[in-house]
Amino acid sequence: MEEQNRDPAKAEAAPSAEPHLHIQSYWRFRDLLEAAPDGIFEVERDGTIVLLNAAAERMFGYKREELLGQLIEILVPESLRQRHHEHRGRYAEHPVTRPMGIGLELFARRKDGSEFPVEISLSPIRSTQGARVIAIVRDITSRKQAEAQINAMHREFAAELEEKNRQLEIRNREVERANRLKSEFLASISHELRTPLHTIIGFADLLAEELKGALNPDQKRFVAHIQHDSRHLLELINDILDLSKIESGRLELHPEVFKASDAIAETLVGLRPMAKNKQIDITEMLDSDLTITADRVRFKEIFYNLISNAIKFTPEKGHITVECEQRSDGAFFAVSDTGIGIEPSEHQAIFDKFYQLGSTTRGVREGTGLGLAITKNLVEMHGGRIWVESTPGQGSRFQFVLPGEALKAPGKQRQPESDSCPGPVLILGKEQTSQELAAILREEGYTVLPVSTIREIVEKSRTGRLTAVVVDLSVIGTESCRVLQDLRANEDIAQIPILALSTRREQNLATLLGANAVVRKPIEPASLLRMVQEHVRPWTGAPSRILVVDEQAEVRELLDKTLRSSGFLPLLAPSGKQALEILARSPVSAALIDVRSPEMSGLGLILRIRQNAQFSKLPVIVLTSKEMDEPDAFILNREANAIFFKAFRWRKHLVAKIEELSRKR
Amino acid sequence: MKRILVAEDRPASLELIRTILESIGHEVIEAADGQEALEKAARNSIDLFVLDLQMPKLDGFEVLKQLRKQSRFQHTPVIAITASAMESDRERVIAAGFTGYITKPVDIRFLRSEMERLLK
Repeated sequence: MEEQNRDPAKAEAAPSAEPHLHIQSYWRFRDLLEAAPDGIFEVERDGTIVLLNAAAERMFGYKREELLGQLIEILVPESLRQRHHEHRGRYAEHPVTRPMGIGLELFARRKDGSEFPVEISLSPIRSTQGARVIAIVRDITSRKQAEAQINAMHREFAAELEEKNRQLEIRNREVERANRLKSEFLASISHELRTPLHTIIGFADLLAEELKGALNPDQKRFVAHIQHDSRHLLELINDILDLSKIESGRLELHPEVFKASDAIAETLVGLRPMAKNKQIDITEMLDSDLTITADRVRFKEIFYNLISNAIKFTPEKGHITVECEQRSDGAFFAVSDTGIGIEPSEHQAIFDKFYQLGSTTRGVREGTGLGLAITKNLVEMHGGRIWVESTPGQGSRFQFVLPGEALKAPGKQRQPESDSCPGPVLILGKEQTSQELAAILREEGYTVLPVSTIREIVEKSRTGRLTAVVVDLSVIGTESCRVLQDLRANEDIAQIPILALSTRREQNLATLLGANAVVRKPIEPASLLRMVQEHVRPWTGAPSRILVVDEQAEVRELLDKTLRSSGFLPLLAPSGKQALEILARSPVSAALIDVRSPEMSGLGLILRIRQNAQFSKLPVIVLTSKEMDEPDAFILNREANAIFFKAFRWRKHLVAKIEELSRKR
Repeated sequence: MKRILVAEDRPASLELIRTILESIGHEVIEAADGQEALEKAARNSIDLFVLDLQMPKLDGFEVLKQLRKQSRFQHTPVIAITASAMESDRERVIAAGFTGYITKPVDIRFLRSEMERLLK
């Protein structure tokens, strides 16, 4: 066998050694073998190479006879030979057609020692000489190179994309900044303009009052003109401010239910004189039954803008028509005129800010170019849309639709709550707290909405009823008292129970909300005095006045005696209200406040006191009884309905409190 | 009849406020800037202050601060008057401790009723 293989020519010429081999087939397969582009090896069980093709020779740089009889490992990089040997052994145990080394990067070694990446597939064959393996080797150098190139290109593109995105980001931020600056500019301009208007309007009003003497009819009329136009100027300035507010999302709508025709009629009253000046007649085609839900003031503003534009851009003796009617998609409104009209190319642009159409019929640019921009914004804030139909020379027809369901009327119109459907409970707190609490509340049948900012609470309270709001004070931190107050200041929240949650058991709630120290009752005179002396900044000369607020007469007496004995001058108040009155009248150096009290809680009082800049530094000492640590409530005079420390079983108590408070409503 | 100090740097605005306050029977002391306001306050007993917020030298906020440091003006009503209509300014004014707040252009009736309320 070896003899045969050493001399390939001989092997080719001696097919008779294979008794069943047809010469033609032999040559056919031989040609195939030699034509194959991949290297093909036949390997003995012991690893000896017994056959290879021309491609193998070329690939590895060996002549055939150099490889025949060698171990296949000669073609494997030295460092990998041992492993290859092992793999060969394992393969021999389970020979099966498969790619070699799936998932591995395979390398082969040429005669000159250089290494290159390969793909290898293995097939067992049975021959009369025993079990052998056919290994087909593909040089994948070029493929690997191509892959590397593609990866490199990919990375390059990705980097370019990132760069472009970054620039886009920067550009976006610049645009935002420009918008913001513009808004700020508008706001400051309006400020500048209001200043001289202040004296114009003011003195005009004083003249009209005839404060310094009577006016003759002509003078009265002159003053009336000044009043009228100066107020008009003020309106324009307010428009500018409105627009900047709308753009920064700060304008609020106050929806009501009203008859559209009434509001439109009111608007016309102010505009008829202007129309009369140009002998323009205004025809009303108003459905007097049409009732809409909208912000009445803003609705009138829309009409004022549209109609005054119509008047400005319509020549003498022209006509204006105002329509309103109910249509299937909502309330429809239109203002038509026989004015100079608008080029179709400008039909969209006229609603842009500062866009001014050529000139009015007086050849003068009037206005700020903001009217239609504001009008469009107002219509869209109501969920509607506005558009114009117009032909130059034939007038214009401005139309807008307010969809039926756009705005809900405010709370006063709400149906009384049915027990089966309570509004959600909002929870503002750390994730864990929120989740725990949410789980418990949901079990009780409440809908729970975790929120992460106070603003969300305010927004949600506006759009729907809330059952309660739970605020974890530790999330808000030291701003707690102000935040709670701000929250309460919102009309929508005024009736909703707010429950405040505090984790800080060591730091007493009172200090959390602005007190300097806490003293436990029953009061021990000596330690109280120490506390007061520690906190009071002494006055030179006069005895320091200390405000004492406690509903119990005995406590007041005790404190009175105790304080006087140390040279202080106590001012006693049985309630928060009177405490505030005292504070308004006399300066005090410190305040001792009992936490509980009927109409205004001590904590509420502290909040109220701290609200006044004068008293931000006033030392406040809070008197409490031992029960302060229980998880039950201290009523925070409208700022919060209940405060809970996170003590044992606080959750149950919290839930019970929510139930109690929502039932009361 | 009370004595009111009005600090405002624009003469026309000053005259306007003075006229209105005198028309309801009060005595008005004028100041053209914050500095002058404090000087005149030192020399007179004042029942109420009206301070324009934007004044040269010392603005309304500063004057308020200085006034509140003095024991006799600790509880005197101090009204801020400003042309700004921004919410944030309003909050700032309240936070600084002003007793009241008036925007320009002033509503004469509102000013009169505020005076009545604060000078009872």
